Amino acid sequence: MDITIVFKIAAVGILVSVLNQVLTRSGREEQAMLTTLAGLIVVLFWIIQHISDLFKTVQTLFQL
Amino acid sequence: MIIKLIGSICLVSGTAFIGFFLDRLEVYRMMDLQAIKKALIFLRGEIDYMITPLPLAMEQVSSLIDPRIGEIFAHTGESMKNKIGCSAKKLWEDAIEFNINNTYLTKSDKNILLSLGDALGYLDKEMQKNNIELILLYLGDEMKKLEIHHQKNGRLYKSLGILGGLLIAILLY
Repeated sequence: MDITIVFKIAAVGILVSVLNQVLTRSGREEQAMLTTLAGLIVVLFWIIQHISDLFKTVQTLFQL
Repeated sequence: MIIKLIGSICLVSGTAFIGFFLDRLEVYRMMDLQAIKKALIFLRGEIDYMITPLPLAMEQVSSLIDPRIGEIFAHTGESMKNKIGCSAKKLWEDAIEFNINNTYLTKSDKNILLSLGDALGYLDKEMQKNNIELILLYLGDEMKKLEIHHQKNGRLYKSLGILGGLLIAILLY
């Protein structure tokens, strides 16, 4: 697995949390929540393939 | 790798520029509104104390304020002097339509300015004064609203510009 994805997820996490803070401070709670949600969805898209690989590995490992 | 880095830097600087531009846009609008306020106070003085005829008063006011806004007053004064047979309201509207694109004023500011034309040159000195007072009141309200909006959103635009750019750069990297 490429390690850069971990750093990318970390960077997105930091930026989304800062964006969330900035938006909340200026009284835009709805947009803040939407930004957090968008960040979460983007990261999920990135890791969904890896999660699928993990399940497959577990299945083959325990011969399920 | 280097091309990606250069692209990211361009992207972040572009979005940051948009953020700063949006912030400055409100400052420029505030400056334009202040110039209009100043112009109307001068115009009120010209009408009230000097009893200057409207075309001359318009031209004198235009030379005292920011040229961006002064152009509207100069254009109206010039049209009035030419005596083309239109009402003062029509000339004022034409001057606004012609020059509004050179300013940072919005549609609501334009409507306030247009409402000045309704009683421009109508009845006596007192009527002109009251009309200008009314517009000054509207302008004061608009400026107060803009000030509050700018205090609330000025920093937000700048931060969103930079952070949004960084986010897009990371997503595309």
